[in-house]
Amino acid sequence: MNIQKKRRVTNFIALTLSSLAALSGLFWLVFILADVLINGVRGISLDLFLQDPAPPGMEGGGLRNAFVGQLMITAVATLIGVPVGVLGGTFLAEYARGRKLSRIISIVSDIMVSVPSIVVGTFVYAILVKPFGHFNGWAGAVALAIIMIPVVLRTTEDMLSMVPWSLREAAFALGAPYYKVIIQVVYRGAATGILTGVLLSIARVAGETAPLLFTSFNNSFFSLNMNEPIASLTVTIFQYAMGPYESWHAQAWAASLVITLFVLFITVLGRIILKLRFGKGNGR
Amino acid sequence: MEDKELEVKGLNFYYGNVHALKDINLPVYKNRVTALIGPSGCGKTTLLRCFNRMHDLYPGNRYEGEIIFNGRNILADNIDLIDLRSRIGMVFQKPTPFPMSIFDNIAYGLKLRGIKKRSELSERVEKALRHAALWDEVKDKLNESAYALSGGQQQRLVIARALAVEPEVLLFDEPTSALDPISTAKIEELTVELKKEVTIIIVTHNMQQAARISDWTGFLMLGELIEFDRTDKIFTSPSKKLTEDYITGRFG
Repeated sequence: MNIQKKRRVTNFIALTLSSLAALSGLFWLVFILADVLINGVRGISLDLFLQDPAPPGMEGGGLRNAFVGQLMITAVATLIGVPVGVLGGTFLAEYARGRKLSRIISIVSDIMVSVPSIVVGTFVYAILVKPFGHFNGWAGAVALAIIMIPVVLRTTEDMLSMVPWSLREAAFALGAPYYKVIIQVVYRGAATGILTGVLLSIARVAGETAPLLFTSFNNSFFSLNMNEPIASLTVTIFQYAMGPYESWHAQAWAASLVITLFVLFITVLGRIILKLRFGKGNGR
Repeated sequence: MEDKELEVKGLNFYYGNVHALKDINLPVYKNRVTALIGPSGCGKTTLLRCFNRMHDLYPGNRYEGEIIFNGRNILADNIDLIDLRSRIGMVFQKPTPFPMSIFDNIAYGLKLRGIKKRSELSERVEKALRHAALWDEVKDKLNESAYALSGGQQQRLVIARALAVEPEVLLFDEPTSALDPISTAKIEELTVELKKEVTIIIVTHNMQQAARISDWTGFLMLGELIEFDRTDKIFTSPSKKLTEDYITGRFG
């Protein structure tokens, strides 16, 4: 009897503590999202997307330059980061499988994932900004790509490793050369997993500010020239939030909302794809 | 005497320093089912994987001796492995459908050989599926994922995929060990049916299976071929004591 009661009390305490911990985590998340939503919705208007910034202190204007700049930088980063990441992951999981080199690269890239992004920003500043004498969009894209690569690389490696070895042997037994086995059989088996990794890595870099501050910097004017400084949402949010004008603050909130929704959308999309693939039990 | 499809002569095989197969000599007769039996780790699967040079995928493996196929030693360095593997197909222990449609699975080997014409592909896919006794079950869902099939159907799909490229020899590596009794019976029936067109070498743990479907049986132990003879002879009056002990279940 006594022991049972003791167990019940212990159980109750453990349950209460862990529930509270979960709730407190959730509370802040909901708080932040609600705050961004409430403050952001007020600033959302068609002008926000279609107008460029008004001169400082003037009412009106929008952030068209930052939206376009953000898309361009992210797109170029994806074009650089995804092929390098996928091919690198393929090397690790296929050609260097089981070799010491593969383990070392995996560990280094795990470290790379957790390197503060500002370090990446200063690194790219040193190699792509300083030598040219001015901030530029390419540097921003490269900085984001460097952050993407280890994420994509490790996801690709993990997803390829999940494809059973017997499947490769079966393809070899039909006379397929290794590159065809990888492209036609292994990639197919791992496609959704890799796609999810790519989406999550895009979501990850879309919210980065520090590496862009040192590289693409900002531009108050609409620009499609990647050789020049180029505006991005995150850097704009940073500047506007620090600025003295009420209208800037409103626009920063609105931009925060848009970027949050974008990241949320991409993340949810990634989850859905993963679920469709792995949930039905007909996948790998 | 019967025609020889393959002949193993003085075959030694090494996994690095491990001497896995010791001086194997063995004929494989045309249009017959040859079973390789023996306790776990005896080298029967290792021997099977020599016939399509699967061991070449891993570094440190080494062959000595000869396997003669169509007058050539297939263990020679200058053998085209892609060509060899299209003549000697393989079916594995667990079904290995590729993550693509049923049609694309069967067409895979054909496409590797450069057959692109849709009409020819369709024709040969149907032929292969009929051969593997799977056509009636899948003809209405050729574009569905191969993973939607049951384990037994998947194994017949894999057999059809191997048959599609019209090989001369099929290697079966315990093809029914992951299947239920009904699927197993179907595969066994199919094996006997298929020997009209191909030569089959099957590795099995199941002695009743070897007795039921094979014409010739090789008994291996510790990397050596202890006895090779007609299946009825092996199972009724083996000439070696070791074979008899294994057959009668005294060990293994």
